[in-house]
Amino acid sequence: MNVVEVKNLAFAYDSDSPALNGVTFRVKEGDYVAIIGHNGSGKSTIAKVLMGLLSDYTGTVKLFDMLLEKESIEKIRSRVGIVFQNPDNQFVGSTVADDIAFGLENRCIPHEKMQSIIEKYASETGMSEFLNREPESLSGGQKQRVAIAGVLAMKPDLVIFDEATAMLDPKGKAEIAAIVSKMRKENPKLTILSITHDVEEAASADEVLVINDGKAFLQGTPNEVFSHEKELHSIQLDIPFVPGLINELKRQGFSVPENIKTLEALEDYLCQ
Amino acid sequence: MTFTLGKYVPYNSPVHKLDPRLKILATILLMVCVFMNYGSWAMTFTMEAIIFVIAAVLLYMTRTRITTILRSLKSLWMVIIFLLLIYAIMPTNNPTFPIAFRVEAWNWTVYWDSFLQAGKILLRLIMMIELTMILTSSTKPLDLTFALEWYMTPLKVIHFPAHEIAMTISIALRFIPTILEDTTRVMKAQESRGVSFTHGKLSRRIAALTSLIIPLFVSAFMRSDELANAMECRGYDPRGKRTRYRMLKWHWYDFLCLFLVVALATAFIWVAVDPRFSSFLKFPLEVH
Amino acid sequence: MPVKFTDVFYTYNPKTPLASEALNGISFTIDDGSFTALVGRTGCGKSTLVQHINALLNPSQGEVEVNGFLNASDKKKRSKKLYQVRGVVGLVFQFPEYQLFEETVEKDVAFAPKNFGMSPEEALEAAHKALASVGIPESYYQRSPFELSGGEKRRVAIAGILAVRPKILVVDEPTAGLDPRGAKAMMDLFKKVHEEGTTVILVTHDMNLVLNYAERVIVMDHGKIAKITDPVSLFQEDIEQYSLETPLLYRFVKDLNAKGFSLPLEKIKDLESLSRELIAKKGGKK
Repeated sequence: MNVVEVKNLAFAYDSDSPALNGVTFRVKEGDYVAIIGHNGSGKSTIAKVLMGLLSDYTGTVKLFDMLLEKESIEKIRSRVGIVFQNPDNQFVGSTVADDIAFGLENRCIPHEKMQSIIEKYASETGMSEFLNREPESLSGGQKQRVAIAGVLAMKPDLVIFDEATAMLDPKGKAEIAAIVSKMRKENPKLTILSITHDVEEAASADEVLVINDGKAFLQGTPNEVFSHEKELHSIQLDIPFVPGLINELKRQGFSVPENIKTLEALEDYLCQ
Repeated sequence: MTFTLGKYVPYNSPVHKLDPRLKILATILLMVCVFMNYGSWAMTFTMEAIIFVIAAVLLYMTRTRITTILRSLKSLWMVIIFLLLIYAIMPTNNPTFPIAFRVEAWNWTVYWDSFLQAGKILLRLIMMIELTMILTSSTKPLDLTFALEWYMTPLKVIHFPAHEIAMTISIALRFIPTILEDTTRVMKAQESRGVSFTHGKLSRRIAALTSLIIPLFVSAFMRSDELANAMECRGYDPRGKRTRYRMLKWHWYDFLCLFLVVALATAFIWVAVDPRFSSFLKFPLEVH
Repeated sequence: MPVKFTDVFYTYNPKTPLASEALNGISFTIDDGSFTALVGRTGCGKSTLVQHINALLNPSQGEVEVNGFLNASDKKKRSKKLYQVRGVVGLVFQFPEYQLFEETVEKDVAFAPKNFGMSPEEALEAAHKALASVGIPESYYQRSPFELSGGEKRRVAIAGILAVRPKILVVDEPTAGLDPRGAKAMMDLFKKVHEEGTTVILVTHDMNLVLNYAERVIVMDHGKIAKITDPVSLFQEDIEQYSLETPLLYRFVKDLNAKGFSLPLEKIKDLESLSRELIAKKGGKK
């Protein structure tokens, strides 16, 4: 089943410079899809459209086989969670527990059930000890973990990360990455759409979508996408370490078999 | 004039545990008691003294530091002098005490009443501060907001946006530390660009202030924009039905306190209204 | 000696229950015209240290000497008009785009030069030069800085610092939130500024920037200097203990060496040199 189906999506914040200019893609259930591209390429606009925050777009957008329109927005939003870039600007509650509860309150989850749900997702994101802490006493990474807990508490089918780690330090980034991989292991049906600058993260995705100038520039598995080194370099995007090294070795006349894709495999091959 | 009206002090005192709705009601009732007239001077000061003692005990229970109280009173010095002056200059209509002193040349008589009057006003002010301090130092701002929302609920019938107001206040409270952080950051950044916030000519100072305020506004608007998006994505609808994580709950001790406070207020009102009490107590020289 | 720290201590909220020691006996020097990276985990004291360089903070104990200015704990010893050190040290905070406030790009960039005593004409000229050096086209000069894109705003903000022609440029996490293209352009700008003779101090978490741009690295840990070295030698060591990330390149080389390779770490700086060494070890081309 396709969780997301976008056809010919176009959108402009102001009339003379379109942010999106005919993007088509689909996301299968349970996949981890990375959207990469430069700032201003339109990739964050995609997230906003999917969340129903923008309305004047053209093209068709379907989530869970429902056309995104006024009548369906509430239904769709109840199945989609999003984590934004700025840790402070999505922390609504006055404490960690209150913030996780915010979404539950909006969905009218009975008061009696809240405490156990909050505790469950706080522990999944490693925030159990911090339930009564106020946001100003938390690090950026911890705030983002709270945001994830708040999203997971809603039991979403699709989670969008809109550059959720861009403002974090390496430790915060690693913590979030660990939580995301745990999420996927625990719920294989969970679909993840990650908008990112990090090509190494994209290399571990199931599928990569490269957006440039409001258009889908490349699309496919990481191996397919990152084999287009020249095209990516032409829009000044880097390729991940492993394909980069393999290409460099080839350039210097040392060939590596096609089936070697991961760091471990490359190490093993070289050690033979 | 700025009073330092006690910041919330996290502490597990019996006063902290009380329901914020009760605390608001109790504060209002006690303030009414403070501001009523009880007839003779002796009566008035006795009644005020009773509330003063109650407030002092409550303050002690909330572990408010004496220094905090003194600091909030420090700004009152000006008021004291001002009050004394005003009451000394103003003619006393029904003096109940003999003349304190008289300046023949100006035909100016000052009665002891003027000092008592100033003292009464001062005492009332102090008690108002004390009572507010008990409320704010023992109640989280957010709980106060919830309590206010609860009191405003009946107004929803006339489409008064009680919930929206409460949500706005709680978000404002949540973002105060964030905006303060922004302020320090922008100030440091502008100081690095040669701005001085403390020295310089007026025109330079104004430029300094603009260089602080505009970035703060820009960042606050950006934050509110992103926050609104985040809230919408998390299913927030200001008009929609919501459940509550934080519920205000009445306990047996809330009922007990409610009873005590109402009883006290009733007693005080009775004393104030019933003429039999108006000169029950008298200072030796007082005539009435 | 443009920057010299001598046994510097700094305590936040001294003599209160909230007191916390941010700098704990810091001594080091930074040479004229060098490119130094300052690294360490969040909260290790980097930003506190940086604020001593332009006298936003005064040491609780010890002395900081910057290009002839002395910032000491003892008020009497401090240089007169110490704040003027800010005209020598350009400090670019994280997300500097939030310090823009003037009506036009040009005015905003000319703001600091005017504060440091340039005449309006000189300041404007300095602003134009700085804007050109960060690659902001002339057509932008009269526009409002708030209309620009995020990356452009940041470049304008940095131009606002460069316009003072600082001898020492301190940049705190300048690539945060930028895309790879913007980040590279930003770093290349600092490289150029450095090549023109400015001393650059880069505060960052990104070890790839350290590897590609810095000549020297100062590692801080818990308010102390843990190590002063050059990037390549730093990455040969176990730096996870300071919560620093080894760049993928060196992690890969270390893994291979652990599996029996003996790749010379000091000769490897990028993919090209790594490939060369690998091929040499594998006995030529296949």
